[in-house]
Amino acid sequence: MEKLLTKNIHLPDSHKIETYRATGGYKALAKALGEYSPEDIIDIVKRSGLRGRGGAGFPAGVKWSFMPKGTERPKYLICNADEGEPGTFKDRVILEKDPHQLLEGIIIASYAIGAQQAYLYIRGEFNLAIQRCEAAIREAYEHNFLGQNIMGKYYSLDILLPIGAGAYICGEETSLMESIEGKKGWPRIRPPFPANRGLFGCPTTINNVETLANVPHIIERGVEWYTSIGTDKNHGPKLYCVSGPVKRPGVYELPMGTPLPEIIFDHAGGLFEGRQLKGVIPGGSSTPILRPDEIQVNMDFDSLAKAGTMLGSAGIIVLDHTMCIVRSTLILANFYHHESCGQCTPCREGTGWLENILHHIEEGHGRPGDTDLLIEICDNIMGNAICPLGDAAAMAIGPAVKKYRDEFDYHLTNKQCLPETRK
Amino acid sequence: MSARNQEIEVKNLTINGQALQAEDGTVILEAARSIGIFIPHYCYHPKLSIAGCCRMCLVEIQGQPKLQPACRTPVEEGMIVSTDSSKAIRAQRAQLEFLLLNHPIDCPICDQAGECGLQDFYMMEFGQHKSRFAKEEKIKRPKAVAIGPHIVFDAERCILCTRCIRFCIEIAKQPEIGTKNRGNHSQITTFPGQQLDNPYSINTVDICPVGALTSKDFRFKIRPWFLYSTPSVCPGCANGCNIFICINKKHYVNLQRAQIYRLKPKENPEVNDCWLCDEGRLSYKLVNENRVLQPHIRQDGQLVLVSWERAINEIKNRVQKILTEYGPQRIGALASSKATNEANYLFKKFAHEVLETPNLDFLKGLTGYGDDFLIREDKTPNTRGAIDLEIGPGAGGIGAAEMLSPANPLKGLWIMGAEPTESYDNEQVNEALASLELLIIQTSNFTASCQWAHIILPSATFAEVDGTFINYKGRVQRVFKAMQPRPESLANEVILGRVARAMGYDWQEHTPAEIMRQIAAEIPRYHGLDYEKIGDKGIQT
Repeated sequence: MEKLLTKNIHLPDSHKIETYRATGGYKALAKALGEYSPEDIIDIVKRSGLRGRGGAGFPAGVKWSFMPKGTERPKYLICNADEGEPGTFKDRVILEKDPHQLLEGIIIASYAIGAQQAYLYIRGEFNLAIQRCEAAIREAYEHNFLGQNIMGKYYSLDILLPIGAGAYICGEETSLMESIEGKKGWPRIRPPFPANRGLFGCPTTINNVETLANVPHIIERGVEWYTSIGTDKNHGPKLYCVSGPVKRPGVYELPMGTPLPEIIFDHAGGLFEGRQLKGVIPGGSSTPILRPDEIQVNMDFDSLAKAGTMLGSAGIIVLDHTMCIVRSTLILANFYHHESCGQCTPCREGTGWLENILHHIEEGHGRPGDTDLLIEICDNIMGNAICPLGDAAAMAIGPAVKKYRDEFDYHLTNKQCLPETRK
Repeated sequence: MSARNQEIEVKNLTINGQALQAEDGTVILEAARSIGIFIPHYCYHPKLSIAGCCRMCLVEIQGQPKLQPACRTPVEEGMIVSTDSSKAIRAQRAQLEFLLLNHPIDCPICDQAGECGLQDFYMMEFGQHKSRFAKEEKIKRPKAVAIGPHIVFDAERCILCTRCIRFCIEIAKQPEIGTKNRGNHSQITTFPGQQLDNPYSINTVDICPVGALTSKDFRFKIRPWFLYSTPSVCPGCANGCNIFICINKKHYVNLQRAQIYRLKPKENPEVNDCWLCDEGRLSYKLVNENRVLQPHIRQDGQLVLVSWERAINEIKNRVQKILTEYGPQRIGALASSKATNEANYLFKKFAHEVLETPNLDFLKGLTGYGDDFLIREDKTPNTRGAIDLEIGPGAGGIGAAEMLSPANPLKGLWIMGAEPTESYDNEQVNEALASLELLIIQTSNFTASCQWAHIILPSATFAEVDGTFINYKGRVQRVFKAMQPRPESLANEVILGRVARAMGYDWQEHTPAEIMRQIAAEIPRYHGLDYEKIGDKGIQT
């Protein structure tokens, strides 16, 4: 497939505006401002079938159309660049290598929803990305792609670049808004939804970096071209991150719905010599793990949902036979325990309890019945928390325990890891 | 009003098979409460914003895949809710187990035991009873930390419902506390360099559903199940907040030794919602401390204890002496805005009929800090009542300011239930009182002016009498007798009746209810009022 999102990243100085413009950058913006009304753009994006790349897969155009019309309240667009999901590093490529592509998407989206102010909330640990985005925003102002009367048209937009302070939970849209407002990153309960009461209580649309980076391409090349990429209802290019014991880990831009084995074995080069596949987490740490016999699946929202897991952020984590499933689950449990915000009961207490039990099993102090208890705790968290973090922990741990129950039981009886996974 | 009625839509729904109607906007939890179905909850409080974080109130709604928090899901037409489906019960049990995971379950040494939400549910139907988490592994946190002048905090017992935080922001309007850390290391904390020190801080103890916040004043004094509560009105200021007076039940029968252990706010949306300020809450101490327990007479410069007969006899002789020697113009009478309407009304009658003097007024008491919420600058409960009863100098009489100035013409002065130095200059008052031939003070507590008194009569406090106060807005509210008066002390109106009868007047012994009816007949503003009409919520006049 022709590269779209990553077409510039190998060019020297790909992050600079000159490079971006030399490869046709900001043409989509000129087209959007010159030829289309905001409603037209929402309609185009709706018809393109662009689905949110942050994990939930909600149609972006539909989300934009929820913004109230004719209100006097200010409207905001937020780009969620708080990429923190373990196993995911796709947005980082765009932020570091091609920030103007993202900015163009942000400006078009802001125009479509009628926002005069956009926020690019960026993960604090992304040092280079922050520098590059700052520089890119400055360049965009200098070239009048931002600021008053963009490209001489009757539309003005400012972008602010808030920087996260190291909380996974601030990647959740409502706690991200709390964070921008200067508060503690605690998710809000929905309803009200952000489109009605979001940032500072005003209508807000929040999109993932990759989602917004898709927008200029759709505007420039049209709906029909865009829908020709990918599968039915899952259109466009997708950035897949492959990590784990594979020969060529990294970010791969492929059409939506590329089969998972193709990504792992063809593009990423397959596993290291002598390693056997033990499992694949298909969409970042929060998605249920797939056993080797389950990996014949297309990497799109609907196929993975049918397989009992999720596309999530498309962070494919490969596990081989030398890895102890108890230990990997413990690492994930530790992560969710550490990152739980502490607001609601099931997540606050449940994630800590999960880590506690897994720790005991891994250290050889597990008690009979612990596997059932783990599954029960996951069930008790699932769906009962305020935000998806609790669900994420339950989905990361529950299915792993269920699918690799033998190995957990081996730990409980033998007080140690399987022979091949011992260090 | 009719326009408002049209706006409010009524929704039909079913909860646990029971059909009911609820106004649009009502949350499921309140709708269920209205038909007697209790949905367990911790973070929800009807007077605070909704946090929805404890997740105890999850209920099943037909057609919705996930359980929904009943505390913030509004009712909808045709909604079918079940709070007792296996899914809902399972979620409630699970949340309770989560909440107890790191909770010390130290009920035997916890001051909240007996009125703890966690304990109630744990012992009741929602509990698991069998812990699946080792005690040694519970997270250790600070215990018994004084986070303010009135509040002690135990972080281990806290379930992070955030009611206290929301209270400080929304009601007290002084955000002083928040949460720190993440996950199960989250903890309520005061902001750096700050204390939980607002005028309403003890309310956080009331709304804390567990033993995390306890009152320095009350903790470890008594178990709540030994307390007996009587509705009343706070005597701390002119706002007239509704309260419960909590005394030890054991001594309610054994009248001699009853003590007030605390005052708690009583809900009254017209006056104080369900809040009470710290100052008012601690005002009960005057009932327990420094009481005058027997009549005193000054002999050779010393106050000596005497019997009521002797005291009344002495009053009779000395009052009659002043009346005959100097005439009624030379005697004064001061009522008080701290006394009930019944006492003040009788005192007015006493001044006119028995002392026959036009020199009548009332003392206004202390003034101090006030705000636009519950605290009034007038620190007495019944100023409005004294004004309405027209307690003031008659024709040719003098008022309180003149009576208490050194240049006063008085020979005798009768003060009921007030301390003059609270409202007037100390030195002037002392000079005025020192020059009197007869100073009779009818008081519940020893005060500064008692040093000049010739006769001190022990009277009952607001907690020991029936009566009415009128708050600054003109709302008549009842105080109920929470306990018997201290031995030998008597209600003000009883004292006045006894003295009047001793002096040869044909005064019947009237109950406070009867006196109220006399007031209602005499004062146009209160026409038709009686205790039944006033009820326990009061009535606006």
